Amino acid sequence: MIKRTIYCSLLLLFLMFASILLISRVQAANLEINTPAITSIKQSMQSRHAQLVEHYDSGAVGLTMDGMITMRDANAVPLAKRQSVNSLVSAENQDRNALYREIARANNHPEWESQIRSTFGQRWINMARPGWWYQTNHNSWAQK
Amino acid sequence: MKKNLFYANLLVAFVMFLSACVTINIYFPAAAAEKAADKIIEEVWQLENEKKEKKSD
Amino acid sequence: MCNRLIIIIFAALVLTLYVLMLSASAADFRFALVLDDIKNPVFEAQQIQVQLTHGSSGAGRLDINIAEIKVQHDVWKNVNVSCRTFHLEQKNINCTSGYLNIPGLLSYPVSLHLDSDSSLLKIKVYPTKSEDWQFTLQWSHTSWQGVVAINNGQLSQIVAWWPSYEQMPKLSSGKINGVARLQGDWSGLKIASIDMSVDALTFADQSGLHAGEDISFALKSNIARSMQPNQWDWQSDLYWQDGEVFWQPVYMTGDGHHLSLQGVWDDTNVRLLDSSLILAGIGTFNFSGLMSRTGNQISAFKLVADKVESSTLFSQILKPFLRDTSFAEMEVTGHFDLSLRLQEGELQSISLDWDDGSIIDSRDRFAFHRIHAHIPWRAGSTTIADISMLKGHVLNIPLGAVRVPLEINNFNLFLPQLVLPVLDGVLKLEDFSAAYTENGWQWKFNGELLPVSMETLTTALQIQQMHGTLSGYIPEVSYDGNNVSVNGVLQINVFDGSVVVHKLMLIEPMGLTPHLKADIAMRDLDLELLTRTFSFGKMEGRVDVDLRNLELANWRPIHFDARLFSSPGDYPRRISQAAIRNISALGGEGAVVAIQRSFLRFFEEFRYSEIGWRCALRLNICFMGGIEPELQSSYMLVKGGGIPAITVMGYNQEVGWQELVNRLQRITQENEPIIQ
Repeated sequence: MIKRTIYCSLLLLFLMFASILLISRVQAANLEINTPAITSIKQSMQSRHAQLVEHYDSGAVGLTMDGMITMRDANAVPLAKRQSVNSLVSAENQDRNALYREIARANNHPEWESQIRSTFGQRWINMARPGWWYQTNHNSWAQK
Repeated sequence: MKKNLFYANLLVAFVMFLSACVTINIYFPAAAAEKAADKIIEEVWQLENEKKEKKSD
Repeated sequence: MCNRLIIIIFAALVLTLYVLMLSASAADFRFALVLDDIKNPVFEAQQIQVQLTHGSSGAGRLDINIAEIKVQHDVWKNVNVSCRTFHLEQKNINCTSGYLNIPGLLSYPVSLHLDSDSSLLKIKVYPTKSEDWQFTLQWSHTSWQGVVAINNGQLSQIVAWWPSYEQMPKLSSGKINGVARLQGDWSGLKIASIDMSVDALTFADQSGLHAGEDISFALKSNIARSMQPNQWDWQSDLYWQDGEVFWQPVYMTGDGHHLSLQGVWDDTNVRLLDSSLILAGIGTFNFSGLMSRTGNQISAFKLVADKVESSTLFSQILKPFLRDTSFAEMEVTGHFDLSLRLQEGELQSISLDWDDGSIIDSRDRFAFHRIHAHIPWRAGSTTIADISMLKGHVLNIPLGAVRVPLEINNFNLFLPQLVLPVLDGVLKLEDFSAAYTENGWQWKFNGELLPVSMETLTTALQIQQMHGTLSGYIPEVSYDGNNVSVNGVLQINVFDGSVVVHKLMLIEPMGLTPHLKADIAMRDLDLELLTRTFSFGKMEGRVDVDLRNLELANWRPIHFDARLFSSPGDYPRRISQAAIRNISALGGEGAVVAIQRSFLRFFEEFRYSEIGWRCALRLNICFMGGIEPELQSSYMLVKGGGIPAITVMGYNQEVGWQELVNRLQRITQENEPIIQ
């Protein structure tokens, strides 16, 4: 009987290790980001970035907490161009939404979308160039 | 002794339950996601080029 | 507000002076008057001091001080009106260098002229050197006339007195010129007219989302008391001549837009008659209506527009509102006639006639040309629209001429049958129904695809030319707002065999990254036709292919479980030297062990008993296998049989998908000249 108890304890230990191993294995894994869909979204965003960058610089467009961008100060853009900046922002956001969704999908976890979005939200802001504006916790704006 | 065995089993079941819970909770690979995000952001914002340009300057 | 204030002050002043004029004819005197309080529903004034010093020469000095004036919610203290050269005569009063000072609000030179003979009062205010406002009042015992003439009026100054809210756009500049005339008798106003022009008007709100720059417009307006009691006839024309406005999300420039309103106004209603809005480059919208003044509710409204230019209307006005949808990148052309009617705030009917229009997606996902449409819509009843299209395409697949008799009932559409030419075949739609729900448009239909030749389809899709036909019966295709799912089976006859597609599903077909999912089973494909088509070395025999759990993202495969194997049955099984070379090349170096190059050279063709290949694609990696059962470290792709026999083994179990595709392309391209 004592033997059995030992076995049980061993099993228990094993299970604990197994679970830890499982966790670490999952943690170490890379996220898949090389699908055709992600690549094409990336390309579309890359080519748009050339147009957007002057508006990040001027402060007209800012980065939001949720991994999107928004028109922050339209006064920084000439009147006639405001509509086109509007469409740039909305096209970029469509791409960003699609990007987060596709990454979640590519890794067979559609439910990760919101976590991926918030991870991106932080990273965009983190990697933003000096002078660019981003949204802070209190829903106000700060400059890098 | 039988009682002991029962407890042991119970404990095992509990640990399994616990490990299952834990696995689900931290299943989202935050570090990997950050790495993936950085890689994509670098490409989209073409930060690599900038670095290279700066170096060449 | 200010104008009224000035008038009130001057009216008070004039009254006082008038009394003086009638009573005093002495050559030299001094006069002082103190009033404690004047109360009136419109204004209140406290501690009014009037002081007049009159010299013998006829010139004098006048000072009026008011400790506090309250006009509705505004209070001004220490208001002062002074006249340094003041002429008081029997019949007229002149004040040529007066000054009006309201601390914290304004401080203007003024002048006044009153002539009792001709019953004329003229007041002129000079807020700045280049700016003047002239108020003229002339009266008789039956009627009166007032004129306000503004020369170079600075709008920004006037607006400073208006109440302002944070959200409201702020005016930063603008000039006003023009005349306003009021005419009446002693029972009240009879006619009023305004002829004003505003130039260089610039305004913006804090966010810059509602802003205008350098705007010029002209306003002409007339209002006249009609024969009926308490009723007014009015008419206004507004011409927007210059400048630009961005009012999120619409941007417009003023190049000759014209709004013309006319109607009748009484205590209860505002009636619009024969009014129109002319948008330059778009068209003319004629409208009339009735609005009750009590609840600000539209009780009737009718709009008619003829020959409206669709392209400018869509790109300038509609498109900005559609920017988050897949219609944002559409271009629309053609002219349309529109009429709509509202009753008690509810839309009653719309009629739209679109003549020779087209809809083109700028990303080329779809296009419809030469559209003629007559679309009537009536609340609560069924109407039939007649829509026809000469040609178009959806995702590269050409569509032929089609005429659609669409039944419309509120927001539900129904179409009993539609025959749509697709390439050289026909897509028959039956029982098409669509409804607008919370999730957007949803639709479904039954269908049948009558044979489309694979030659034309593959050409249209710009993929490898294939022979055979595509046909199918589709019990139900439905769209739930995001995904198109096909319940049923698409049958393709190609390569002398059959291909059956089932569980076909399109996820977000118009989204940025459409996904396609399907299960495909191919049976008895002729290997000879297949290898010839794809310029792979010649092989004879028949194969079955199962492509399960296929998923394409952006039309490229990211997931499937493929299995290719020799079909059961009796048929010649031969494989050419070229094909073997290609198969081995596919497997990469060292994939082939059972063939020796020296041995290979002697024969053009070999015999085999079985072919097998498996590939489980997981994102970018193809996990390969061969004929079952598999060995541990290798798999058999071709199993020899007969003489001369050949066996091909594979060792490479994981191959990058792109690498595999590249190799295939290289092979088929290299081989092309040989085949031809």
